[in-house]
Amino acid sequence: MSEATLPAQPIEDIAPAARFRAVRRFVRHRLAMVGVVMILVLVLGSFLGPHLYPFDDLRIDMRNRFQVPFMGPHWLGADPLGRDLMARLMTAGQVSLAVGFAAMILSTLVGTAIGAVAGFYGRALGGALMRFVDAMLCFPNIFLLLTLAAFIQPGVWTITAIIAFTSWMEVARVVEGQFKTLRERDFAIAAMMIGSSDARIIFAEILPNAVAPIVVAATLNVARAILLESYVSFLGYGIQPPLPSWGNMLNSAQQYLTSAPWLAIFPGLAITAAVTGFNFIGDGLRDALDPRLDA
Amino acid sequence: MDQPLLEIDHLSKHYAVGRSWLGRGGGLVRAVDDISFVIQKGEILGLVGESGSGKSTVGRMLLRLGDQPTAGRVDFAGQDIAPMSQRQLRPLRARMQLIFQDPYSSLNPKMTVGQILEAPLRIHGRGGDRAARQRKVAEVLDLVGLRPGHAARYPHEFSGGQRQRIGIARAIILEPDFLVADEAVSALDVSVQAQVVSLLLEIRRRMGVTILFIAHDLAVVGYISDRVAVMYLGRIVELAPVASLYARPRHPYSEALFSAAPVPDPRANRQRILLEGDVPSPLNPPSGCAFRTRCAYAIPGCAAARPPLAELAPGHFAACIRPELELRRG
Amino acid sequence: MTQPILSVRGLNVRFRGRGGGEVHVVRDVDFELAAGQTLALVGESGSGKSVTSLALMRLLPGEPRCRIGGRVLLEGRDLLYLTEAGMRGVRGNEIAMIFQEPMTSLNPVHRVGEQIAESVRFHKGLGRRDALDRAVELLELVGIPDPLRRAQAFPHEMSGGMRQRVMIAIALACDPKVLIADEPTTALDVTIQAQVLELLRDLQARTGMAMLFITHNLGVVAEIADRVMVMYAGRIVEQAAVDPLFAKPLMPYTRGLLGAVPRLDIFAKEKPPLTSIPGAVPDPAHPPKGCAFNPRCTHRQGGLCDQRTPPLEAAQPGHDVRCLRWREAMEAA
Repeated sequence: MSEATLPAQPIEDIAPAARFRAVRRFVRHRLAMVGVVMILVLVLGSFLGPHLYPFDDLRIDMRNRFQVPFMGPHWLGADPLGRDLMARLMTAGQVSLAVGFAAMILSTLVGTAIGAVAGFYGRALGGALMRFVDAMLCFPNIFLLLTLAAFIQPGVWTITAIIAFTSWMEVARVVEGQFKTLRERDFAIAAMMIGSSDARIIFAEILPNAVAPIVVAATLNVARAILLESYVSFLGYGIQPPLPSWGNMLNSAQQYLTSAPWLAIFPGLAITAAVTGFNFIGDGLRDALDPRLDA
Repeated sequence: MDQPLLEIDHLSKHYAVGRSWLGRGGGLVRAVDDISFVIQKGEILGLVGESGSGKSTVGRMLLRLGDQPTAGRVDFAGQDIAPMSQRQLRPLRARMQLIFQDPYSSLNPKMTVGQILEAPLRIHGRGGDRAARQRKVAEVLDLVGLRPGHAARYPHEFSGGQRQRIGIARAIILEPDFLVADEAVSALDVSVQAQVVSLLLEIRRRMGVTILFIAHDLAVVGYISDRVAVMYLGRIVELAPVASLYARPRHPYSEALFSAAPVPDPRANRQRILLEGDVPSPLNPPSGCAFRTRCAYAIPGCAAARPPLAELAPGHFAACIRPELELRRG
Repeated sequence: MTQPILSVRGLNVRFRGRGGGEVHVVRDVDFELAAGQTLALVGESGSGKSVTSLALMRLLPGEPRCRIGGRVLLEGRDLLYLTEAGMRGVRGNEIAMIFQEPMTSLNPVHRVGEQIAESVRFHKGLGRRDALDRAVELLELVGIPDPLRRAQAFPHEMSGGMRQRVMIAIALACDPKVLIADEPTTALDVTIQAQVLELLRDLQARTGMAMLFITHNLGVVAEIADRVMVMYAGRIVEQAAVDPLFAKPLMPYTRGLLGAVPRLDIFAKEKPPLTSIPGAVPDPAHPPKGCAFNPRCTHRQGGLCDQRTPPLEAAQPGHDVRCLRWREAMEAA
């Protein structure tokens, strides 16, 4: 029993790193995989589809106005101007998905920044920031959205910004909670002990450990953003025609709900598919990234 | 050796608890209450006490983790660090380091061992270029009994004892003057504890580092330390060289601690001094000597005033008004 | 030795991992426990000591996650074959258990008196009033001052030592024949630990219960145990009465453990070198070949210890050791 020397034995045969186990858990998550397929179909369809599909979304075809789906040249039918519904759905998908993703990125950045500052510094500053978050959450989202949309010139970028502005709070709450616990952990104190700047502790030490819940919240935020875009566009304050979005397609389909129901059904289905798809992925990520599963 | 590295002068840390946000009500916890001592360059000073004695708070105050002390001075190599801001302290951080109790939470799970060990070098612009830094990391890993190849691995791939070695490597890579080991071996298995204790002694021998070794286990503290301070309810009740303290404690609380420590010898002849009750609340400590409510030797005079640390034998200080007591060890 | 109350024969516990592999965490454990006796089960983390106690109480998950083999005889009845309902009548009644962290074992929203009373009512069928009286009696028995008032307290209003006393009161509520104490003093301060050990010794003398005391602390073992079992990597590696085990340990692991504990009584003189056992406890999923301790053992003989699994042999009456080279250790001692 002399001075300690370490045997090779306990270190070599180790289970694969946690990150790979998380990937494996995600791939095995059936619902998440369904979500991934749904989103892949929507994204590929919207962005690659127009290059393969014979009809242009703006071409007016007066001979085939109100064509019923599967009953003529237009696969999913045509609108009152005879424009191809499938082509319009694809272009609208580009807009809706792009708005959803961009709003997610923006809201995640804002939410993470505010949550990180509030959670890391705590005290009066953190308290004030989180009370602001609470206040924002008190407003029904849709009113906030509509009020803002009524004052601001609607467009793809303004709508994205408005949606992001009304949906960063959840992320901020998640991040604040994470930072509050993580900054008390010994490794964060150790980082302070070696003389790290606050920025280094926040970005290099704590943030990588908070990524999992942020990713989950961000994924769910895409679904939410797509839904919010549809709301405002449906109510006429969002993306303005002739640029189509799933929401404003629903809006223009309103008056033909009985005569040409397919005009509403297909955009509705697209929204449903996108929202459930992202929610499935979010649930899958939540399960896969659960740190309790990495012993 | 007789050159002080740290001089702690009338240091206190009080916390307000249970107070409403208007600052009303509640009370004051005197976590550390007016303590003074000196840590000599190159010595290992042990700090023992039970939970709530304030020993960890002392360790963190000497490193200035968290807020400023409520009162007092901490002279580190000649400058008073007590009133400094965290920004002012940053350059000093290279000279003082902490070894944590929990080897599981003290290493960032998302960083490799190499990244963890390189961070201090990069922050303080030490160790030259990347290749030189990696050489330094390999050197330190070797010093703590790990292999240079371990730098590429993540903390979860190591056992508790090995993680504690990594934590020690991080603490010594900048060659600090002062280390605080806060219950650094308490969470480890018995067989591994001894490895880490030996490692710390080896590091002191090679680098001449000064260590404050905080623990609740008298035997381990006595083994590693040169001098030992005993804390009770935020105060130092006894401070003495190991040989002197372990041969003859001079404070009744130290005697009780020795008596309570389980001895791994079934034939040891023990006459237990069982302390009554629990440690009093630091919100409302007894007047005079804080230990008097549980002390078998208490006399009415103990309640009158807080006894100062008095030198009862060379280098042996105790805060008790009854120096004539013949106390036993175990 | 008198008739044992609890007798464990060939206990084996295997856990099934997520990947389908099986981890054998307790291997062929045999022991007997007589009334009034204290048996200490010593081991480091991962030695299988806590799993052993949970297996006795049938508190492990059922098949297929966990397979238990062997016999656990409580006065002749095999607990492993009892129905779950039958087992509930044993747990807390004939065998009681106390744990390391009393806070997590106590329900934070109920007063401690009620929690003790509930156990009494369940097992003894006492009325509410009588059960509460008994609870106060028990609090007094475990040395809680002012028990009538303390019975009205909530767990968070008590200190760690007080809570452990409450746990002991609950455990003793039905006069169990066997008390299993799993690291009951590890979370406590030394002065409080001394009080709790004193209390357990005193209660055992009064009630004559048998105690299985699980700990990693050899000092505590020396204080409380009559016999000691040392576990390593799921197996008993040495078993003896407390005096010979501390005086003449035969298994190198036991010797290493004893050498790794610094003594209090040596500081006046020169400090002897602290011996330490190199390496770490093996991963139970990948135990080394041959003797489980051989990669860390300074007495290992190549070609022998890394090939053959040593049997548990009686080196002397009542002193069993699992080492292929115990005879040499005997001669040296």
